[in-house]
Amino acid sequence: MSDFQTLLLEGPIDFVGQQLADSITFYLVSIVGAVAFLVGIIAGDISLTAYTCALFFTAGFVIVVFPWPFYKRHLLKWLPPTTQN
Amino acid sequence: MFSIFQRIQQYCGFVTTVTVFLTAAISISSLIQEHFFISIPRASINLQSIDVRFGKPHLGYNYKRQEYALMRFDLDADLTPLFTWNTKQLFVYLAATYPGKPYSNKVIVWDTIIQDKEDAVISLQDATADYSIYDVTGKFNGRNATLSLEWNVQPYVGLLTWNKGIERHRFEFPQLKQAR
Repeated sequence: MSDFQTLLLEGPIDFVGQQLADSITFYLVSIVGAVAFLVGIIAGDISLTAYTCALFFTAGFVIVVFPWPFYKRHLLKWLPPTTQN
Repeated sequence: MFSIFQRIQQYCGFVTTVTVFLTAAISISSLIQEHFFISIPRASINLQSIDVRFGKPHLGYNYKRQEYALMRFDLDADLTPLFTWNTKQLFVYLAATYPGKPYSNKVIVWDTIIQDKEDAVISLQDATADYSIYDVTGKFNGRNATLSLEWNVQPYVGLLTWNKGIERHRFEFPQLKQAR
């Protein structure tokens, strides 16, 4: 498989990046949900809640799912191949 | 989170979970608001006239000739307290309840849908009922009946709630005037 195919189908990122993606998922989605609820109940308008959730959840999808370069800062250093006798 | 598909699955699954909690919180908060913080709306009904006729109550095939009642009424109601942030629309209707064997009867004679808080003040003078009342036995026999205003609050998320209005108006079905 070419590098482009690997990028498209697997989108690999390193382990520190995976942890970062997991944290971003958890904090972004739960905080946006709580804040959207509070904004809606204080302003008395449920469409505010719905639209802020839609906007931020879509932005979060773009941030988390695609293999951005900031997820690849701590690449594993593979040892050079050993010579076979 | 090692591949794109993994991340899509994890992210969308967590968004679904948070959305479920959010809708539960919205519906519970609006139910609490409806029960404890909202004053009961006031309404008054006045039955102007009720007319019992003999014939087919609707145009159409297979309706037999029987007694049916047409009503004219006044209705004043202020339903603005029922609109919370979670209220999508109100289904408001006038129902006539009268006894029968073996079960009592309840017929809706007029209804309306209110979608905005500004439209929630109803003020009708001498309005005709949308639907006529006709009994399964074909006769009214001068029974007593009660006319009450009821509403169904339909939320964006959560449980539907029905409530009876506090305004009732008692009346009798008058006897048929002319001979059949």
